[in-house]
Amino acid sequence: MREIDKKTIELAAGGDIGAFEEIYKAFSSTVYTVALGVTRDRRDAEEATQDVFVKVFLGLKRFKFGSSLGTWIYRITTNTAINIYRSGRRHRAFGTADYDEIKDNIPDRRDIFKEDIEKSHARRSIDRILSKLSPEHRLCIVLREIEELDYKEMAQILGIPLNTVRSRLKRARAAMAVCVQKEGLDHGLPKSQRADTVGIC
Amino acid sequence: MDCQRAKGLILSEYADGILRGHALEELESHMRSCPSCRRLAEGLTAAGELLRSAARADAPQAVWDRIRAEISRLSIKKGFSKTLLERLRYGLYSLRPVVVATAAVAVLLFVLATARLVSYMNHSPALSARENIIDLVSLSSGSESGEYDIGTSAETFFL
Repeated sequence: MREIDKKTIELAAGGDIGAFEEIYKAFSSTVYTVALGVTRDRRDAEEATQDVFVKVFLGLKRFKFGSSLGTWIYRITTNTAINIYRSGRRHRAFGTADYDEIKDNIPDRRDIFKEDIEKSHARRSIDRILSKLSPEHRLCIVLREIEELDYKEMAQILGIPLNTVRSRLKRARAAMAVCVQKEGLDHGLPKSQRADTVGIC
Repeated sequence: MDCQRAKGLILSEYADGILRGHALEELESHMRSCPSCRRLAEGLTAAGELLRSAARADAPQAVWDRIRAEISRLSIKKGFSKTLLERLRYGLYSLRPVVVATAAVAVLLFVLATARLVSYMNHSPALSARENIIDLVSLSSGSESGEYDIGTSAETFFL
């Protein structure tokens, strides 16, 4: 994630589309990755990304530089992604297909490349791991393991005390470990390392 | 070290990579003798590496196009854009599909109109009237042989 200088933020707050595009380029990957991690649905992640940046555009005039722009955008992203996930849960419960996902899972000529196969396996494993977690636990895992934020940043973004971050992340990791041990990973963890027991010593 | 404590460390300081010194040595010693705790640590490490290597994704270009169209609309509505030129530019951008469709229809209409004009020029009423007069003149001065002469015989008739 790239930091943005104050002048660019002020220009974007005044309605300069070019300056706003700079902000988008710096944060879009982060926003989309977090949204995808929480919602696990590309359409929902795209919708969340769109909503986040429209909110950022409208809210920039009120941005007081009290925290970093990144932290502020993360906070908007986490709230938006969780809300979209919750509002879409009923819709998904009726079995609406994610056509992008179906399309990606159909083997095509690209799959002849080893790298693509590995990437596809890795993405399926990630999806399987994240699907076993609650949205709050998913969010913790995404912020810590993918975005590599420290506990203090996570506390600021999530608006919870530092100790709550620690305990929530610990529970999220425990849930993730249970999933990995039960089902193994297509990529990363050898099948021989799967445990029949669930991490109980 | 018992498994309860080992498991707690694996899920926090060890997974964060901040466990050092005696505590780390003690945990590693425990994991060597406890396959279950070892598998827990290996599973978490593998999952962490997998997430860091493959979970990052870029938003499709269409997302930015939609955001841009939306904020252009909002800019005009909220008076962000001060100049007429900016308003026109943002307006055109958000109406891009309509502008393209209108331009396509305009080109089509121009081609059809041109084709019709050319056809009209070739068969215009003025030309037809001229041809009719010539025919009439020729008929009036028709030769006995039944052939119509529209040259000097017409002039002779009027003179």
